[in-house]
Amino acid sequence: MDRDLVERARRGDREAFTVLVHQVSDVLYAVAYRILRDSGLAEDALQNALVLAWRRLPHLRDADRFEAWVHRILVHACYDESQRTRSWTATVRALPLDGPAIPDGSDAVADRDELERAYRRLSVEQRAVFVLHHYLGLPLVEVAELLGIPAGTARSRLHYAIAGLRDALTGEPEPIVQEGRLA
Amino acid sequence: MTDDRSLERAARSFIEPGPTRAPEAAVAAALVAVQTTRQERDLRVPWRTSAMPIPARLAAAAIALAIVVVGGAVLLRPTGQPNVGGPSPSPVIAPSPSPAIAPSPVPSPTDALAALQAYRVARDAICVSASQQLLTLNAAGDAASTPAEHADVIARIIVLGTTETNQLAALDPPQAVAEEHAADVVHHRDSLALLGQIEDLLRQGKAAEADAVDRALGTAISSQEEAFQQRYSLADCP
Repeated sequence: MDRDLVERARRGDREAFTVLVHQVSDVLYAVAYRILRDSGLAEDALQNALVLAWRRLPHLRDADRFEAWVHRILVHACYDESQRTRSWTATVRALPLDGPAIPDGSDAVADRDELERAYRRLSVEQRAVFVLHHYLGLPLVEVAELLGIPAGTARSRLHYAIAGLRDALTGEPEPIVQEGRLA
Repeated sequence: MTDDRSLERAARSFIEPGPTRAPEAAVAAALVAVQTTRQERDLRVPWRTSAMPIPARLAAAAIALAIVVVGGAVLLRPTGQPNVGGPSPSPVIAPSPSPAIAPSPVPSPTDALAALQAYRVARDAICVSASQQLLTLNAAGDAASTPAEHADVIARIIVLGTTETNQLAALDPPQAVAEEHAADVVHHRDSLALLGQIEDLLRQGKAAEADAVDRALGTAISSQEEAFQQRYSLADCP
């Protein structure tokens, strides 16, 4: 990330910010989509995050941290989008999945459907940790730092996310997975 | 498939597929919104501003204008002056940098569009010029390391802002936006007064108090200005 661009944008240069946006928007959208599993919600989260990033940019002290900083804003935008749609997602979960189709055998497709259902049952906080760790490949310590949470919390969220997916694959009874406890 | 390693693989292969490019429309929409969105102030860089507008903002401006014109055509008609005899051709006022538009008792949609366009051109010229000058001052603010140096930068900003506000006050806005324009000028004067308070506090070495004043009052004032700018797709005016 070009430090000079970040500094210029921080001083109010919209042209510099536009360049930055084009550099980061693809990965931000990819992350938002994978957290929310819905293209419309991911677009909204991306837009809100970019506008909020512009608004708050003067408060960014270390230009070298821009990328992590804007990811953090995005994840919080995903939290907001998730809250906004919580009322109808419960219904949607029962509908056929519209996730990306990939060539696969029938067993793999069944596994994938199970995984998708299990994934959507995870909390958005758990999904965020899962995506940052498994999609972006960030170590858990960096995930925790990016999200502003203790490392133990990040580890716990990932643990429960993986446990939820494992249960889906083994066909075991599916407890309602919540952070820090099983309800 | 459920041992840890295979689960890890399954997790990765599950999360990998999906879009990797952001939809252009979503990015463009965000950038349009940024054009009318003001940055939060930070006393390290006391006053935030815009750079030159981009073509995407102009497209949004055209859409907003169309909405304003269509929706406002009837509302703009002065009450008590029915258009007896049906619509008559009104002289088309070509967009001009001059904000002075001859008053028309029955503005047609074309008149209203031209008046708003002329107003936007005139206002944007003032605001963009001030914004460009402010980028330099913001850089000076970044370089300032003591409250006194910050105060000096703010004093220069106040001079620039006073000139800008006087220019805004001299505009002759169309009837459709006259009230909001007047309120916007008041907000600018309030912002300048606020900056004056902040400058005084900084000269007294009270950086924390200056920051508190900025945070407590600045956001409310800025958001009012910003709402006006977004409503009519006007350039951000520091």
